[in-house]
Amino acid sequence: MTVTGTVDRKAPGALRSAGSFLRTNPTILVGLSVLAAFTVVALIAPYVLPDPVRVNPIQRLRPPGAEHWFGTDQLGRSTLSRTLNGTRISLTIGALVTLLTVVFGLLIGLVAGFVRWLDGTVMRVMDGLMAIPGILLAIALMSLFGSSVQNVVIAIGIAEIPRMARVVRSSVLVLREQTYVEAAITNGARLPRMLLRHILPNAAAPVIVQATYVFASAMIVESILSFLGAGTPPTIPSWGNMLAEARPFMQRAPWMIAFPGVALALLVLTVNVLGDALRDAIDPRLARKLRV
Amino acid sequence: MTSYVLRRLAATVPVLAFVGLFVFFLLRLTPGDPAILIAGDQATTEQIASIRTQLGLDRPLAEQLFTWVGQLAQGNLGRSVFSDMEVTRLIGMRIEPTAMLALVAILMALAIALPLGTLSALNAGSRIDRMVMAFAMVGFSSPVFVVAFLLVYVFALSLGWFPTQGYVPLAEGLLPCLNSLVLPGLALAMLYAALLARVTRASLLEILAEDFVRTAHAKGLKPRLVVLRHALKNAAIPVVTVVGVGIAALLGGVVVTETVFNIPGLGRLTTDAILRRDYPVVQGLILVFSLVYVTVNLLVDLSYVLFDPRIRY
Repeated sequence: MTVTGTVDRKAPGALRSAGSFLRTNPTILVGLSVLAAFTVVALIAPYVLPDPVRVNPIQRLRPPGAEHWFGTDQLGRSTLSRTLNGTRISLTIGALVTLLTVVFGLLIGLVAGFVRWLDGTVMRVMDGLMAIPGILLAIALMSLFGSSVQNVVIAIGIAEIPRMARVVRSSVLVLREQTYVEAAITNGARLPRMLLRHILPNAAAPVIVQATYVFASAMIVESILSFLGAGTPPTIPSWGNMLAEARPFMQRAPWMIAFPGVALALLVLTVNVLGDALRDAIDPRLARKLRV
Repeated sequence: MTSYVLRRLAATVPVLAFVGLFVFFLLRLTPGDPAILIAGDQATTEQIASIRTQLGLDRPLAEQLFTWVGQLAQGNLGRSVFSDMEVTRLIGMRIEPTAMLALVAILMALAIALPLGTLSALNAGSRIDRMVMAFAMVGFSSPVFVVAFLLVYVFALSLGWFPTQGYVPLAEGLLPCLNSLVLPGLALAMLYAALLARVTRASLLEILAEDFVRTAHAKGLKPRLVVLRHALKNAAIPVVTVVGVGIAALLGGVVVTETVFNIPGLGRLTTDAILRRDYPVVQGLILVFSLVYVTVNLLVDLSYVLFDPRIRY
């Protein structure tokens, strides 16, 4: 009874504050809506569209028209179906890389921020990883791992984790000097409780902002890896694979490049705009400075 | 100054040592036999065995590490499995196109970003500002090969102004060389320009609100001179920092751009080496790219003195 009572009282309040947050930040609302639209497309595409890998040689390289809205590729596969199905792959890889990066970034950042004697070593390793250009690191890892969706996620994740760990560590270093954290320690709060109640909620903002950038960057890197032949297996209709296959037909069938290319740029743009808007909303001081 | 440079140089040693170790262990600690991995699926047992001896993979790990470090210290990166050439020579042959491409891209990015960022900051909140920032956002979000395809389609295939692909070596003349780099340079510069325009704007806005800028205005200095002589120079440090950090993105973009435009540089070498599982070459390239990144950022740190005489090392 009490439990449901609390939830009932709390939920509308949380919803209302989320609602008013979105009303005062229309960019975030628009960004989330577009992202939701992409997600819906990703979810329903396999059920309403023809099989993206079905080959139909008679209908090859057809330009966009009434019959094939986005045209067809060199094997007669529907570009519409492949592009929309590609959304799912990009979003999945983006989301998994973000998850991986946040989990390990938090873990490494918290350890570096709290365990003094490990800090130097851990951060030197992170610096070393950051000295290898991210795309190159991911390519090198993929050349050893072999192409699969899982390996793409791990390879991009390894390249993204150091930056996230840095963001977490710098927040922790600031937070642990705060009076309320010291007070909690004086009051005998144990480490896990202190992390959950005091550190994590206050470090959340920069982590969320960084996570949106990771999400966008992961989708770009995935497409680059696939484009170079070191990403998702060629049988999967990811945007990078589509663009790689379309390259020899650039002059004859530009639509094969245009649709996945624009879809990719649009999705990444949406996530980046969302990231910027979140940063501005979360750090009003910085936002004022940038807007003036 | 000298002691700072030495200290700063010393600080790059552990970073580079880590990259070296990482590259060494990456191949050795990957599950499975690295010799089979390099030889590929169709290799015979003899081929696998010869790769194993060639790379010294049959020796104890400690001995391998010792040899690797010793060779590195002498600037020896081993031999290519595919072409049996020395990796250093292979890399040396491919440096020119990449260096030219990177240089052209950086100059283009600065030529686009500095005026646009300044324009944006001077007209903060206006329609021009919003347009420039929207452009930067789109540039920041467009994958380099999508931009490359667009440029090729418009300026090479449709208008025929520039070649669709290929690279003309510097030896055949500066202008033909530059002409072959316009489209790849622009494609590569886009992301960089977007990043720099945003930083230029933000940094300049902060400086324009400072007291000394108001003083300069108050003493009757022409607005143009206030911006050029006082504000821009003081706004330079964050911009230069991003030039350094952006090198990582640039080097990654080089790999893609060279593949799209068929430029025989280090990026193309990277893709080829990976597709051929030529691991000594991949290792060497990662080391070289990291060295470039670390060196550029070292130079960036040292260049702060030029922009702010208050900084002393």
